[in-house]
Amino acid sequence: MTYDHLPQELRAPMHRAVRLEYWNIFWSTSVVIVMGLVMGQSQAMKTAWVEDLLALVPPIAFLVAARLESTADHSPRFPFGMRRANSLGFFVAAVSLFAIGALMLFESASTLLKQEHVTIGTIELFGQSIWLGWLMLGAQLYSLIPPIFIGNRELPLSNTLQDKLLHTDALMNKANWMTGAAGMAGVAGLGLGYWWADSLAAALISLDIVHDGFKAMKASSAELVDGAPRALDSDGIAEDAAIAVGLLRIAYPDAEVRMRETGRFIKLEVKGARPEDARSPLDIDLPRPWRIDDIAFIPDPIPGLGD
Amino acid sequence: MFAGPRSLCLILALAISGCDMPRDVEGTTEAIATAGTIRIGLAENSGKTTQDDAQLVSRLITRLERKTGAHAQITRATSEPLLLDLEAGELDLVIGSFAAKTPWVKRVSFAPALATHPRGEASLELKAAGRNGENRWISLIERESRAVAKEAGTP
Repeated sequence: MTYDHLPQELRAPMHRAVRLEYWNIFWSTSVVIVMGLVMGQSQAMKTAWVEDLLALVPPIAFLVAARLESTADHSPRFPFGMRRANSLGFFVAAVSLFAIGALMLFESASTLLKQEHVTIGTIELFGQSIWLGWLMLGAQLYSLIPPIFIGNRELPLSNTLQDKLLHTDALMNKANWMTGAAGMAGVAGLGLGYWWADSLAAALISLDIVHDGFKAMKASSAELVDGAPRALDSDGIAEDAAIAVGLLRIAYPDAEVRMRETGRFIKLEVKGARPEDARSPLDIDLPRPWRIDDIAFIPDPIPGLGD
Repeated sequence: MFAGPRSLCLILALAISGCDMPRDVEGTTEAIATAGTIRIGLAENSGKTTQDDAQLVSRLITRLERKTGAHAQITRATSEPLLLDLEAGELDLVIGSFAAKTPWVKRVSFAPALATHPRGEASLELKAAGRNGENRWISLIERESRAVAKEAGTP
């Protein structure tokens, strides 16, 4: 995969991010297999397994979006290229994150309300009956390690690339290790005779995941409906976008200035002005100048096309 | 955002390493040791219990008595009332023939089968059931059931 479509400073980070996501898929798949082998009848383990399975969605979405972004040329059918593939991937990843949190919350609240006592039995291994809880604890411990390392590496890359899909995957990895830790606490709690331990831990953690997922869903929906560019980690307006719009409004006080986000790029529109109408010199100096994809000027209403 | 996983793992590892697991949620194992009796329900099977099945049940009960140091106190009835009593904590163990895909599998915990009898496309399994969540007691039942099945050559 080549990254010639990206600004020079983003090519190496993008290459690292793609490689990281391949590793992410490899390790996440190994976690899904290990957890599947030992999950038994434990609902908490099943939930954790489904969550690990759903965690594959953001890295796959990222890789698909990265490929589309890099290979799809502008064409009559896609005149703006595939830059928004990343936005679509961000939305898919956000929905997955929210779904995981909601699933966990439902399962754990339902177990708590029904006061279900979960059974973890034994398994015969090499002629010995071993309590399945020990294997579950081992599997959960293993499931903690990849997301901690991968998530920590994704965060700075997502900031450099201004990639919300990658950022959501970092949140997914946070959700993963937190669920793993909750699962361990839960299995250990069950082993100690506290039936409510794992459901309570899972319910508390799922609230945090639901919150992150909802925030990401809001930001990704805004992007898909041409909302103003949002910050990487919140629903607030992105700082560089706000600066650019502010400067354009100073330069063109009588015009309407609008902005929207296309993947990692910002598109600006100045409606009711021509470039040469600027009242002051236009010098947009941003920390990441590559973020401004283009500035379109729409001087006057076009006859027959409304305002 | 990623602060704390190491300390969390350390706390968990310390908590787990110092513990004797698994334990029972309702303390069945301790109650059996204290009372000196295992309250067992034997599900009546409309006179279809074979001599071999009766021997397997007897062997399982003897093994459990030996492991717990308690004596069996037997109640005979049909399977449904016994399973309801087990669920309510009135019994510690129910042994009987149950469909391999019995819907009770969600409400009680079945140990590995002592014997399997095909019934057309389905099959009946002679097996023991414990109360959900009683993980130490269920672990013991499962271990001893496997040992009895192995002695009997049950696949």
